[in-house]
Amino acid sequence: MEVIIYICLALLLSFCILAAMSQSLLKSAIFLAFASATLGVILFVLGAPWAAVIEVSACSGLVTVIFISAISLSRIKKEEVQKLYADKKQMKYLPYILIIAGIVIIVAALAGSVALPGTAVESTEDFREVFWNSRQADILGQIVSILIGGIAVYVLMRESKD
Amino acid sequence: MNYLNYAAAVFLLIPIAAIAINNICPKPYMKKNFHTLTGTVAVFQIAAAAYALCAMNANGLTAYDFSILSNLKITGSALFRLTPVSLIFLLCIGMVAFVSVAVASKTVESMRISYVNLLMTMLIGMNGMVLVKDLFTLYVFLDVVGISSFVLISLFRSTKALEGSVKYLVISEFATIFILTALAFIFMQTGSLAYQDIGGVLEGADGSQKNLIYLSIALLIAGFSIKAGAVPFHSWLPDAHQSADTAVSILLSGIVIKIAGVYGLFMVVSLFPGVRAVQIALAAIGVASILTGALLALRQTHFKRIVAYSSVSQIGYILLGLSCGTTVGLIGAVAHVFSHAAFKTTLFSNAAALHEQVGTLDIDKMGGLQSRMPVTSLSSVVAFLSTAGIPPFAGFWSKLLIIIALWTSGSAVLGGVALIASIFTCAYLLRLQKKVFFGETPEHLKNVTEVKGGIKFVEIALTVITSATGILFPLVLIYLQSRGLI
Amino acid sequence: MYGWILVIGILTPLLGALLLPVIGKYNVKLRNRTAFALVAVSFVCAAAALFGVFGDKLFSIRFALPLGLSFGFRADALAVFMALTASFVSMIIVLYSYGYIHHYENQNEYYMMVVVFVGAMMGIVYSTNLIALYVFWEISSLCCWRLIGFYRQEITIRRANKTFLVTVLGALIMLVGFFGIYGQTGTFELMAMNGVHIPDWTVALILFGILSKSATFPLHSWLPDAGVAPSPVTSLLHAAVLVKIGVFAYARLFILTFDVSKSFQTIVPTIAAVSALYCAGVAFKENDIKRVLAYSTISQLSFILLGLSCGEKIGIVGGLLYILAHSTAKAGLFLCAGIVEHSLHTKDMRKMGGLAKQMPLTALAFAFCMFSIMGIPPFLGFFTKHMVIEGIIENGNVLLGALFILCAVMTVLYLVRLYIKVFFGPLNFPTETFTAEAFAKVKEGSKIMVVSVMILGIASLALGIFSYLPSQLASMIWG
Repeated sequence: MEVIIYICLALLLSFCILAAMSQSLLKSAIFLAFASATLGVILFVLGAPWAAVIEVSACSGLVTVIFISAISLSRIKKEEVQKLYADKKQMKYLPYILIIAGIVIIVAALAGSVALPGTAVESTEDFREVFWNSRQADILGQIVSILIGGIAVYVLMRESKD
Repeated sequence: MNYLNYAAAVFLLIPIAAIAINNICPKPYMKKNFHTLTGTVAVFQIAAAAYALCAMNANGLTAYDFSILSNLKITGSALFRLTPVSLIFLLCIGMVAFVSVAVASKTVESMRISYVNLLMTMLIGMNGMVLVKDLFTLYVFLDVVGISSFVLISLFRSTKALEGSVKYLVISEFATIFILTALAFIFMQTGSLAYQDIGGVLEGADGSQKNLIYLSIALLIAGFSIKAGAVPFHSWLPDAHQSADTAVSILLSGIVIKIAGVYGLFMVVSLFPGVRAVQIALAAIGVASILTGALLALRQTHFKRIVAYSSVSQIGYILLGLSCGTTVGLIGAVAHVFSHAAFKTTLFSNAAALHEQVGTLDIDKMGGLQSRMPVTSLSSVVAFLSTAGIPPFAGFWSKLLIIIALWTSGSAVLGGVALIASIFTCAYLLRLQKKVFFGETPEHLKNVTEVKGGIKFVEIALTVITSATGILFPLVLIYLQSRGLI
Repeated sequence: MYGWILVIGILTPLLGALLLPVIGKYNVKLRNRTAFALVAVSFVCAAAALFGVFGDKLFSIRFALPLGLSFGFRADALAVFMALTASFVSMIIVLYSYGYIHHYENQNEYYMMVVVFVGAMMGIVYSTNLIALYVFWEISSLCCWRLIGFYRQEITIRRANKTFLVTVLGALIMLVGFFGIYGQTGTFELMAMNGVHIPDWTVALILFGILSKSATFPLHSWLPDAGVAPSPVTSLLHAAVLVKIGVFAYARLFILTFDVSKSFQTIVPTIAAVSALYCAGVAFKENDIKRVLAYSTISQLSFILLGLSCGEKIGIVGGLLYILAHSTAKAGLFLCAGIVEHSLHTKDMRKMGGLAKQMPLTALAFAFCMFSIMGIPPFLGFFTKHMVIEGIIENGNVLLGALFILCAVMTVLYLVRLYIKVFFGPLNFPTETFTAEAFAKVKEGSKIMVVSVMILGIASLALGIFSYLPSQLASMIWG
């Protein structure tokens, strides 16, 4: 069990780094999809099937579709993006350094003081009951989040009037 | 009691209704009257908060649970809670939202419908944060506030605005990561993130579990300090404030950093009381913020940047108040949240007025505007005095309470440092006054007139609020004494 | 219930001043008269409180608050003495302002700030609580800032900011000292702390604040710089009222309330001696009338501080009486300087001379006030200086006594230098602003200005002749 989790964590990390460092928006979106899929696997192995399903379907599926359609609609070329940041070439390796430093810090901080979480205990309540009754406030928050998402897309992506 | 329920529902349901109205009504009508709609929402919030404070006081309640979507019969389903402290925060939110709307009526020319939508979602987010009883829900609403602010900053999509908002977003992400990690660790310990369940977690833990809890407290403090713009996480604040439209800067500085940041730290302090490390950490961050903010403000030439650094400095005072661990410190911190909301929004309203009438916010290009813009100048002087803690304005009393709390809880040196650091506040605000208002009017500014309409109204209103709170503050002290709090 | 008279005496100027800009929009004369009336109310209330002092039933009132912040007002002998002095001189200065200010801008703010300042002064002298003292202290700093920057020029604003920063820094450090006392006793109320011994570091901090407000070396440089203010402002703030706040606080805190270590009876007179000598020396080199008078103020304040800190009754009574003498006389000197400046549009002594012919009354008033400061009988200044020096010698410190006598001699010399340069000597006038014919037409200042300075000059003489009256009140303070 634990081996799968470790492998998936390594894969997750690699996909995320690739997504962040890739120079093509399309490739980034696809790596993100793979990262979400890996996360779904981890969630399933840890015993949260509902969370895994939602993770894979929403992040991996829906969000990637939206990303790819937005990217294909935006028509900005890779060369144009690179030109904008040409003066930052000398810092090309900075992100790698930061990522490795971050990993080292986290591992050092957690080493020995925490065990990898075991599988979750199957909850007795149906998740829909949990969702509606005891996490009602979250629902309000999530509805508003979705609302903001829509507004944000509209505000940031609209065609300028000029 | 029923009325209290309605008052409580106002905070969450009225903004949703406003969003609906905003998007359903015909566009041209909405564009002309957007400030009426949002102003009404803000007034409703202020009125509901005031009413709820009186009602809770009259009935002797210290907490009132309510829920929105289902009834109260199911145990554990009371998902929102009103307390006097949260009501004061709600009052501040309403006040700042009102000021922002009044300023926006002049400065926001396009994208008005989106502005209303985002303002309403931000209101829901902030109201939600102070009303919930569960850390995870707090986090959800924190994210709502974060996204709303991010989009609001970049509302007009100038290059500077986008840069400021992306910087804010990235740094804010660190806050999110820290907070979420901390929540995960706490959840591993307690199996629940409700406030009542977290309370005793430190006592029941042994060695390595205790370390984990301490780590999560440290992460929570770091995350909320980022949101509050405290040193050393303050670098996003000036850029975000400067590049956003002034109506948005009012929201950011006047209330968002306080609800998203300070309220979070307040929850940390109340969930883990008496932890010495927390107090030391908050005190250290507080003192560093006071000094750094004030010293950095001395060198700036852009009006809004000076005010932004001033916010960093004042957040330090609030954190010092929280770090005492005593009731007086808490009261001082909450009082300073209120007076800071008042004087900071005044300063930003002045920035808006100056931008409208003079066309620039570079203080080197201004001077002697007092004779041309007397109302703006008077309100800026009152705000300056309140910020610096000069009697008899509101800022003096809240600072005094914080210093008393520091002194009586044993941190006399910190109290002395905080007190003497007020001189830096005086210095940079005096410089601002000299460069902008207090002097001879240069030739190119001889035709400047006073700003009219909403901005003038809120400047006057805020001056009255600051002065009245300051002069009548002893009554507040007497009331608190009668409640047995001090 | 008589305590409410004190509240009226404080709140009337403080709150009434807010009406002045409103009245000033419609009727300038009414505003001026209202300003005078507001200050006169304070004077009347102080006079009423005098009865309480002599009848041994002091006017007082108290408002209870938590956290040791209970504040109140109490008109004991010291408070009434200071209140009478301050409000009397302020009334004269308001009268003088009618003539001086009437053709400048920002008059509404000027009158408002002057009246608020008087109200703050009343608040300071009657307060029974350290925090209330601090509150009114800072309100006076605020008024100072606006008033010094009256002319709105770059240099005046800079000087105003400097004054604000120095006095506010001093006040903040003093507040730290107050908190030190609070940490020890748990309260800010003076009545509850009568006779309590306070640690030396709190005394040092409070002393810092006092020295900053009363412009004692080394925190003195803001005072001559603030001479860029209009003359009534300089006389109000820097001669008559503002600088007296510091020495009043010294009397209130260290003589009447707390018990401080005896070492301060040597430290403070030494600081005062340095200040007195240094500033008397600089006064010789200055050529700006108001700067000479400002350095003279610093010097004379050191005398007062000496008298209050020497620990002997006669010194203390002398110091208090000197507050009265100096307020009256120095205010008169600054107002006369203002008349000269108003007519000649310059403050440079080297460009003046022979003005006694053109302005005889001003010259006479100037002479009276000057004699009082120089310490010539029968003016009040003579008796008070005598008492102060006697006090320090009785304390055993003959060296300091000698230094102060030296300082008194220097005072005579530089004031005579000033007088001769300005009023006597050959007829000399600033040629860049006047031709000979135009200068010949220069007359006295306007009637109201001259009347004001004459009142102050005659008061200096009268107070000396009838000096037993104020000294009776002053000795009640220590008794």
